[in-house]
Amino acid sequence: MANLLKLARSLTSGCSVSGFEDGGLSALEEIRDAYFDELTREPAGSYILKRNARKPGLPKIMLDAHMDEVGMMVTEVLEGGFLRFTNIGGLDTRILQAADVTIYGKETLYGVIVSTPPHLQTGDRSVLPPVTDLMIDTGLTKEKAEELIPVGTPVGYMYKLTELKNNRICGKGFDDKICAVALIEAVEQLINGGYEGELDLVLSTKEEISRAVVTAAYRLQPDYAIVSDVCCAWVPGSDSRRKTGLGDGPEISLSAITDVRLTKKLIKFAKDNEYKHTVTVEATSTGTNANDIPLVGLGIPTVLVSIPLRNMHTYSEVVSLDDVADAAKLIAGFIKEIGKEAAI
Amino acid sequence: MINELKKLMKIQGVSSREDKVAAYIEEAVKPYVDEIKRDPLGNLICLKKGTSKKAKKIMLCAHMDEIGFMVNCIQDNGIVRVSRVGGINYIAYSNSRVVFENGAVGVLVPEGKTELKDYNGDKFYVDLGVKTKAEAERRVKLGEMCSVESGIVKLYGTKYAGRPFDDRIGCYVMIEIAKKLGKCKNDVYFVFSVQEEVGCRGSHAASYNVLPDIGIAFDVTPSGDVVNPSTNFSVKLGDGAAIKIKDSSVMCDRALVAAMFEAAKANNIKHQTEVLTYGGTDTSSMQTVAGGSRAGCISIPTRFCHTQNEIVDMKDVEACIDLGVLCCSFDL
Repeated sequence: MANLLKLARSLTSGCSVSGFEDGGLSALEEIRDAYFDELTREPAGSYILKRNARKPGLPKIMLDAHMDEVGMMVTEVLEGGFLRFTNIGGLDTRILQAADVTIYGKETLYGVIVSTPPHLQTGDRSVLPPVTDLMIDTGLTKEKAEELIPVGTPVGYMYKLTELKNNRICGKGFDDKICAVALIEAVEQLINGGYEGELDLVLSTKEEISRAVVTAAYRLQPDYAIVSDVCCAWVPGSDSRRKTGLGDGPEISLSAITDVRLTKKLIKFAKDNEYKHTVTVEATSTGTNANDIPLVGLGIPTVLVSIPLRNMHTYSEVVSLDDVADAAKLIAGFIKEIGKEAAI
Repeated sequence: MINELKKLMKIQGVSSREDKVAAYIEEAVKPYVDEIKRDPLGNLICLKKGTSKKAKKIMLCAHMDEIGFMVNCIQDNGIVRVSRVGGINYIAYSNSRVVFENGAVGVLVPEGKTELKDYNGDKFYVDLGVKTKAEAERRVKLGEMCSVESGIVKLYGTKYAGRPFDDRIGCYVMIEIAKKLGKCKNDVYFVFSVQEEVGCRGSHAASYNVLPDIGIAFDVTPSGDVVNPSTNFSVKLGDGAAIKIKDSSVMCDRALVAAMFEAAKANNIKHQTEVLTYGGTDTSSMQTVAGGSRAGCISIPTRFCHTQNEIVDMKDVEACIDLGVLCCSFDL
């Protein structure tokens, strides 16, 4: 667990607003040195960590988790050093007012989103202002703000990571870097177990806005793709179809988009070996990169393994490290299984 | 110069019906490029070969098509109903003259008693001035396209109003880049794309065809310097070429954006930053087709996009041309 926590910290502490996923680079270099042969960044922006095959004839397997997270971008610098901004990806506007943010300008700066106090609110309080009406308070003068924060500067939730009881952690960007942590852990287990096939870990760019993973998949043309993303965990009052709660283990997605044979194989493998898991039905859309990878090039059989998460797209996403460990174990075991024989 | 632009703006080319625009552009760029082809979708792809053996492939892209309408029903009384092709602002186009592919002219009007908030395609029809279905069918056919009357007029100084600046002005910028480019180390593909207004379909196929290292779109972007803009937006007419950071469809490549800023600064080209909170361009397809490319966009600031009076400043257009020429030599 200590290793998972350390990885979660190093991957989520920097800037990874969609299109600006540079914050974890030094962490990725360490990961490359530990488990992979090369680290490249392809033109559309995805990172590819490649571990070449130690033995020919085994299937080539691509693992994908997206590196980016939702965030903001500065559109205008106002009088008094306030910033207008727009959203990048699906921001939850209910939690923006008074939120701490990090501004990745010419210098890294902190700011806070302006909130109208209850005393001063007029009109219908149940109506949220559109994101483009909110402002970030920088504490700078307009002149200084213009110098340090050009229009187009990305802004993210301020980094924090707190440990809750029961192996649970709370922070920002776990969508989807907590899945990257699980995949890296899976790769480590495979290598320690003497696995010899090619493993390509894609930490993809821009999932929250455009699913740019397709260019990385096109370059790799793997035999199989295993996508890991987060899913909304059950909380009291959830839709009755949403069953996976924190601590229930990884969720395997059954849909018409992902590969049925491979998914069935994964479910059977999990059952036969009593790996903790749940199964969910996402009939025609998974809302993840697993929607797009199957149709790249000549087609790529793809499965989706999700990690349950609470408070998605906020700065207080909650996950269970037990689920992360279980997802890693399941994925590593399954790769060992399908890696034995030639691709389907 | 302005006469050529006037000609280009007069030619009709609703999405999928871009042949006449392509024919004009082909003639205009022929002396300045080495190879010209049209792909099955109709994209016009012109290559100017580079001088270097290690040439990179630079794809410049502007779309030839414009928004318009397609006849979907001719009613008994000669009333012609049309579907929109691309993003139509019915309030702006209400009571406009529309011209069909065969030259027939009509007027696009809302049904009487329609309140402004209910303005949508179902409430509009084209009045051809006919009385019967048979008369209407002699003028237009099902599936035939039309668009709001085109053309430009000069306003104050270097500003012009008219349509369709979106995106004939981008095509114009690229034609001028072809003329000015001279010797260049990179292979430069001038791609004039089809069907952008209906979902960037042409540039998708063209990007597969070219497989560029760097892709740069030239398209219009809304200008924020209007009275009470509907959204906060910092681009201004006359402030120069707008270097795109994002729109709803794309986050532009950061190294390419940085190189554009550097080139503009070093050569005293007036420029500004564009962060668009909606909209989409051919940039996104260049970025994500096949193995992907470093993609960006140089936007021409334009007030009142998708109306019959889009306004541009030719000084901005010239800045876009100058910056575009420099981008052809990028090595990223």
